[in-house]
Amino acid sequence: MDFRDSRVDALFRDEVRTWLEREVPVLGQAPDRLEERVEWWRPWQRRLHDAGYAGLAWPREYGGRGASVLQQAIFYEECDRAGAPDRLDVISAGFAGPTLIEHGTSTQKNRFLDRILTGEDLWCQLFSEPGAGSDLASLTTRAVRDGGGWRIHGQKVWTSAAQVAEYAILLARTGEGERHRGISFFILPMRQSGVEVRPLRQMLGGAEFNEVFLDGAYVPDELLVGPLGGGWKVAMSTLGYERAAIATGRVNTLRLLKELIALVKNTKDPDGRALGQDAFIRQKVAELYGRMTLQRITGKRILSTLAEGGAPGPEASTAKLFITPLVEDICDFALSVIGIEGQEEPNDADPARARWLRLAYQARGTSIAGGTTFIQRNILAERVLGMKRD
Amino acid sequence: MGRTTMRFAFSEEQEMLHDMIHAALQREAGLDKVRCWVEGENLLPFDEFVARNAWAGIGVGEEVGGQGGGLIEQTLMFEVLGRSVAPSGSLLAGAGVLGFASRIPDGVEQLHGLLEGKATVALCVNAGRPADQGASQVQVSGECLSGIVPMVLEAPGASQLLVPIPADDGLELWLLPADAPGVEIRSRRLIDRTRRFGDVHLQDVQARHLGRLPRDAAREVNAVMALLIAAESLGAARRMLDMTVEYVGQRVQFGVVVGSFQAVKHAAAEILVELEAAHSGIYYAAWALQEGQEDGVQQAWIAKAFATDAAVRTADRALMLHGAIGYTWEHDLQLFYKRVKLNQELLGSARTYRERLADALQLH
Ligand SMILES: Cc1cc2nc3c(=O)[nH]c(=O)nc-3n(C[C@H](O)[C@H](O)[C@H](O)COP(=O)(O)OP(=O)(O)OC[C@H]3O[C@@H](n4cnc5c(N)ncnc54)[C@H](O)[C@@H]3O)c2cc1C
Repeated sequence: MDFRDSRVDALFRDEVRTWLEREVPVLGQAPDRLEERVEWWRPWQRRLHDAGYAGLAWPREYGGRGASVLQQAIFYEECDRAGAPDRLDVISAGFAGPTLIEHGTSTQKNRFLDRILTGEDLWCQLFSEPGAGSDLASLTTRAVRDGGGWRIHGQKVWTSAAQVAEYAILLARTGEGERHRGISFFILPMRQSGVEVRPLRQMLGGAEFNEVFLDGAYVPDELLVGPLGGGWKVAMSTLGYERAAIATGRVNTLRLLKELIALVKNTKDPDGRALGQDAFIRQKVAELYGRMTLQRITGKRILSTLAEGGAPGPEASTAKLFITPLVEDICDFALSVIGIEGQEEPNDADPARARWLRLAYQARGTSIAGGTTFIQRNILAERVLGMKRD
Repeated sequence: MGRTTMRFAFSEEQEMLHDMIHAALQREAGLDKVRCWVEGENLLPFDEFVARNAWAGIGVGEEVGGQGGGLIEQTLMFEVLGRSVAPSGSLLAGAGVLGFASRIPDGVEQLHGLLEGKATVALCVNAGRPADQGASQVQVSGECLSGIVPMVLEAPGASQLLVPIPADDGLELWLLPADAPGVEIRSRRLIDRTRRFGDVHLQDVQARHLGRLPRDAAREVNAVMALLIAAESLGAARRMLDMTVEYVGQRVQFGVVVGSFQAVKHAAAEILVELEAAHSGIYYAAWALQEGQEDGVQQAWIAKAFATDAAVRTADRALMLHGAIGYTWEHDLQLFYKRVKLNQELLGSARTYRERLADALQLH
């Protein structure tokens, strides 16, 4: 066991830190609306790409840098430290790309991977349906043979970022067979007739997820990923990447703790005493700080297992269940420090406050998305602890 | 009278009152209407409905012009209001105003029209703090008030403002018309849009002195308001539990209703455990305050701290049990979710009341 960077990794860390310290401060605040945020984010992603930091751990042949998973982790750590923008390519670079690298044809890889890394193409995930949520294998969207390709008929729902996506990873039935047999995994071009995206308003008001109606949308044969009827296995590896992405830090908890500490420092209780002297507040911040460090060390542990070529161990499965309530608790606590004004509708007057509120709600969404908390617990009990299914 | 055993159940009259309010709300303030008021940011139709029924007088003695009944009746009303996420802010503010006024000589008589629903009087204090702390940033010079009071519940739309100003060991009560020269009210939008808030700016505003309230009396009024908020959170939480039980009883995944999974049943059962404890605490506190029992104020603090937190835990469990559908604007759960989140902070959070309780327990 050794937590120090190797000599090479330490050099890499210095290089990244210097680069970020130069580039990040000039960026300014990200816009709130998704569509505007994407336009704001693209040039940043382009700069990352040109500097060689996009797809660090992807193979060189697909536009990556061929670096180790550890260097990838070092890069994200430094991004957190520097306060770099949140990633908008989590679905494309975090789950769709790795799925293509693992299961895609070489034509698919050549066509799609580079544009994912440059940020030109964002992707969305067309898995869930009105009748198929936790029980994804009960999906009913059909792919019907049409010449050298397929026509897709069905309805998807809760599709995050469909309105800004060029492509989707799609699950549809191509054959008969029970449940997860007969499901195929496709790449669907989103900008075509037969694909209708209707935004759904989320509880806080923003419309970041959508209903997607598929009425004869076309997918050519060359956009089938994995064997015909063998899409379930491909989807399972996508969900694995999704879980890992959530667990190893879609949310920068280190930054949240720093902001929380600053908030406490700048707040006085109603009697005018510094809040940081209050025993309850001190205990709570220390507890959250401790959990944050454990979450981050666990993240490193997962990555070091992967770096040594091992399969993710039980710590990877527990990580989503550890980070989701942590983010909720940090945000709820920050809002309680702010008091009733923390319940104010997000506005420009106080962007920091608005961020806590948004993130608190977003964390509730995360605990449902990518397999609910209950489903994750079932997975842990059955697959890790080997307990009987009910 | 003449009873020899303790009794927790509601009387027949109380049950009837409950059913009457419930039916009236279903008829006149269903969720579709609440949604419409919220989206249009206009709560006046509900204010008018409350005024027509003179609900501000429920729980107020007939001798001062109320509809009779006591705090138990008023608490029941707030639980039912919570069940409907009714825009009950003006009733809550009214309860505080009446509480203050009724504890000084001729106080209620001076608030013309409040009980009949003809006037709305806002209690001009920061709604995120206990009301008995008063408006500490307001200065008095002669009969003129100056200062800023942030986050005043129902300030936008009020016709008068009751300003309690801290003085040694009590509160001085001042009354002023909301449209008096020197008054400016700036609206603030909260995510629970069923309530109105505003910052009140006063600059040399001529006000009328109503009287002086001792500290203990002010604490009692605050305890009453805290209790009503707790009851409202309980009502909202019960509704969320009902919605959830109904939903998981029809949503099918893996070929069965999801309500048949033990994890789902346990989560629902845990909500029930907390809500029953909240119910006990709330109605005991209502009785104790109404009857002037020694522990009334403390029990109201306990009820506020426990019930508003429990309602928030209920909201999160209900959201999880609904899955993604509960995370949408279109689903009614969000209305209740936001209300109980706000109630947690309204009048001071659980931490404030636990702090008071710890003081009372004389730990050092
Ligand atoms: C913010 C957000 C973004 C999303 N983005 C996407 C996206 O981009 N693409 C996409 O395809 N999907 C997306 N989803 C959908 C997500 O994957 C589903 O919501 C999730 O899988 C749960 O399905 P459901 O909502 O239908 O809930 P249901 O499956 O109906 O579950 C209802 C309740 O039953 C419980 N339950 C179900 N089965 C069991 C069981 N066996 N044991 C115990 N409890 C059980 C669940 O935990 C839940 O509490 C998103 C969801 C959210 C909230």
